[in-house]
Amino acid sequence: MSAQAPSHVPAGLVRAFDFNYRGPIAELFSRFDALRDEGRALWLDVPLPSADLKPVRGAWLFTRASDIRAALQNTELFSSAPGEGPTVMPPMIPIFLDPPEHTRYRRLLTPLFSPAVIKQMEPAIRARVERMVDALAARGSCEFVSDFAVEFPTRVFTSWIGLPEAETPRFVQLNSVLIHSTSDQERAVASMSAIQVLTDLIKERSAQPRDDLMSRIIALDFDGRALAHDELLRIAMLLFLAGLDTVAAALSFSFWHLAQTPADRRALARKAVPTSEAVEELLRRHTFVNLPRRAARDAEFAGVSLRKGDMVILSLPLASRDPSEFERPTEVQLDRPSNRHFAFGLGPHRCLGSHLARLELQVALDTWHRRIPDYRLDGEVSCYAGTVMGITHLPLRWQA
Amino acid sequence: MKVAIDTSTCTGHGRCYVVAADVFGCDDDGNGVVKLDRVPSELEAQARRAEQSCPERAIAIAAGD
Repeated sequence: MSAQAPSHVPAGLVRAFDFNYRGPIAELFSRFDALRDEGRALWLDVPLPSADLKPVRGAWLFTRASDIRAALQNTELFSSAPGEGPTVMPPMIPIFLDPPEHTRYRRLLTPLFSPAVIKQMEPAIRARVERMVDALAARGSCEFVSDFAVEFPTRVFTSWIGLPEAETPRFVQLNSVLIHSTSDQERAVASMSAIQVLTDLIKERSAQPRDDLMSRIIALDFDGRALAHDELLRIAMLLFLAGLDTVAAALSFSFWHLAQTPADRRALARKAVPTSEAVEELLRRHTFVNLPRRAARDAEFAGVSLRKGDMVILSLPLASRDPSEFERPTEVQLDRPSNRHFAFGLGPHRCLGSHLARLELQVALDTWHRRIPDYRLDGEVSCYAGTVMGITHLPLRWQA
Repeated sequence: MKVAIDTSTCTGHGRCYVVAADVFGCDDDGNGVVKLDRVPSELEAQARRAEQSCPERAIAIAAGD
């Protein structure tokens, strides 16, 4: 195994770790936690699937929250630029850029995702959740992932950006292949379909703007010029990929916990804890994104020697569950008083959609527990891993 | 108690003005701004909670006025 690691990696730090884990959900997070005792920095000798980078053999992993925070805040050493070689899609903006280029795009886009702008979406989001939950309540049971967790944020996103909501199932399918498929061929085909959908949208809104996010992005003034089609496509692609499946994962993990924890369900139903704080704690305990970076130069970091070009995994779950920063980190404490969690990443690449994600989670938890305060697991739960983790099947029941 | 935000570290998570709305507000991008840099004693708990909620550790609290 260690024969595969580059010569500058000490053999004692090499570990096998399967990012494509498909085992029981009970071990999904604890297998990350277990790495913390193996050392401050490890070399994971594994192929890494991810949305845009070609699979790479081996990467550094830092296990301490303080190192992960320092790395996320240090874009000069930890680059987000994709490595050399072919990729299945054009590099998305701004996630695969480094400052100063990143800063210019980020500054341009940030006001469109600000808390004040997102707040205006609340009545429509609330009405949507109420309709969905009302329809489900009467059924007495559901498969939470497909009946609610995927459908809800996808419909919010498609109507926000300006895509036809009726095509939601197709977008869900494309998104799922792009993020989860391990076949380059499958991902290339899905990527071409997604590019076609978004290209059509950009062309239509460029010719005839409407009251939607795509039209607002097209209308932006980028230092005295409009964004070119290629830039618009690379931005739209990121929104398409980032906005759907992550909220679904956060919802599913939260309801997986709540279905097994009557006291926390009651606290939410009775508003004994502010929903905003409960959401933060559920996000912390189930932080599910591992971010790829690349060493921009040779450097010493976290006690090891990084070589320029080395792949690095910044594991947000390891950081959000680090006992040196969080008391009893594997437990949910809905009103945890100190909660500097890493669920949305941090540093200049902090999740641009975090304010929308939080609103969606808060409204969903509020509405659901008002309407369906009591429910339980109703069969096997299955999960997926990868650099992004989530739940594929979560049967819930609230009537005998 | 005095509070300050390191604006070079703040990236707009928005936690401070949610948990301590009397002490912090936000700018048009959603970055935190200090509304009361001298925090009265009845708001000190709020301010501490904000400091404990900032993922970037961008909030500094100092004793005294």
